[in-house]
Amino acid sequence: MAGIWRSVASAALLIISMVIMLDFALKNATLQALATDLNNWAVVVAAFALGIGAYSLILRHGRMITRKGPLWPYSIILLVTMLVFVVTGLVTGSITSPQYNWIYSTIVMPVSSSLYGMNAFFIASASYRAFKAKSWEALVLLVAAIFLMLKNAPIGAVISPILPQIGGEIWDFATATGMRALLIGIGIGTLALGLRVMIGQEKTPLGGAE
Amino acid sequence: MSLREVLNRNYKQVIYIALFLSLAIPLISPIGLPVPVQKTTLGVYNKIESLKSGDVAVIGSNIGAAIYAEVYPQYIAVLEHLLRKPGVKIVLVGHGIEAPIWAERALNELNAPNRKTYGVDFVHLGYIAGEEAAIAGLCRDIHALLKVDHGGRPLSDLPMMNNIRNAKDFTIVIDFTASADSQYWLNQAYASYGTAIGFGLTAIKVPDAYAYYMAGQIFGIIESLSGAAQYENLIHKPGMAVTGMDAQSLAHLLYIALILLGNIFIVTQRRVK
Repeated sequence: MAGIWRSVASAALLIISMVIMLDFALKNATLQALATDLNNWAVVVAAFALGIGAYSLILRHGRMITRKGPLWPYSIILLVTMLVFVVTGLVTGSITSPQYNWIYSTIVMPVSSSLYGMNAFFIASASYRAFKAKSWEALVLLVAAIFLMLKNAPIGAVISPILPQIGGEIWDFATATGMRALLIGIGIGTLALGLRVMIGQEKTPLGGAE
Repeated sequence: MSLREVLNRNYKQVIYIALFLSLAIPLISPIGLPVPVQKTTLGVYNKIESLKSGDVAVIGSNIGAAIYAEVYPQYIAVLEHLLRKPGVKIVLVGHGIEAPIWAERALNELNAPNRKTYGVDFVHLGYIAGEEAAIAGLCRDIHALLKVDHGGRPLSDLPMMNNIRNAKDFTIVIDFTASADSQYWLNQAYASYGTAIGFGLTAIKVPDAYAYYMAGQIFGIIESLSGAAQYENLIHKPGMAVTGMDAQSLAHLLYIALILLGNIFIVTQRRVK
């Protein structure tokens, strides 16, 4: 049964991806309408996926609480928080309502931005402990990092206008060139993966490889 | 006790206190360092300056609580600039679940409902699930993808949406994000329809977008808080980004000092051995 299902899914995947690709190439009105519908189905499926994600989260943490698994009190906090947000959103009818906004501004925003802001402290400690010029390559990296920091912060230009210029040159040539090579590599990899998925060689999107 | 001994014994405490002070002092008492404008920021500014009455600016966003400190000041500055342009139509859309909260907040902060007419000058489409599929849907046919806006009003009741159907009708798209949706706009709007694209990004996301900027495929990037500060100065409305730049500058200086100190200590230690 699983084999039949996989073949049907493979065939559907091939047909749908061919429609989308041909629509891009041919600009035919019928094909365009079909491709637009298929694309919009993907949006609807993605919206449902959010619901499935919530369901699976409730199931997993519910199980954790009933079995008193590791760190189970945190699962209670997670589920209660989730419930509060869902109920507030549903009762007020919008995630931009004043009530929802109040919870968001007083809980989510400070917690989330504090966690993100803590990175600054870790980076400071890592700058002293880890960023050591133990080899020539590390020295090059270190010097480049200093010039880039002085490029990005106004203090660099205040110290000397040459500093951000050097940072700019590193940014324009070394960073952009390296990044372009990476992006082209990613592009070719994505293309190869896409073709493998289309011809049914890649099993993972259809329920995992055996 | 030498600085080296102090740092060796309690380096974390000393570093954390130094960083806290370097961030807090300029926020309490700003130094007012000049903020030079970069070509990437100027690219966005000039593009918006060139917009004419009837042009359509689509503002995508994936702003959430984690990145708002970097990206929200950019969003506010660009939106303020767009609101000043007479006749330019603004379409706000969210690619992250939290994005509509920030869009509404920005519109209220800038008093948009009293400056412009909703449905005639600007529209908020809200969050659309589906990542790249959602952006592809917007580019293909907005009316086939969405029937209502963020507030549940039918798109057919919003006059400006009658002339905006797909990416061919978008004059520019500017996406504010720390995620992959910037790439999705390039794939779906630029590659397929040739729509002009610009970005407002967190610092960590800038390098991959910069390759596209250097290739001339995007018209500009507002780079993290410093880009926001530059934009605020360009529109002559200094805000939270300009205030934060002094703190960021001192923090960067501290990082450089710590890197140098760490390396100097290692070199001197080797020589003593």
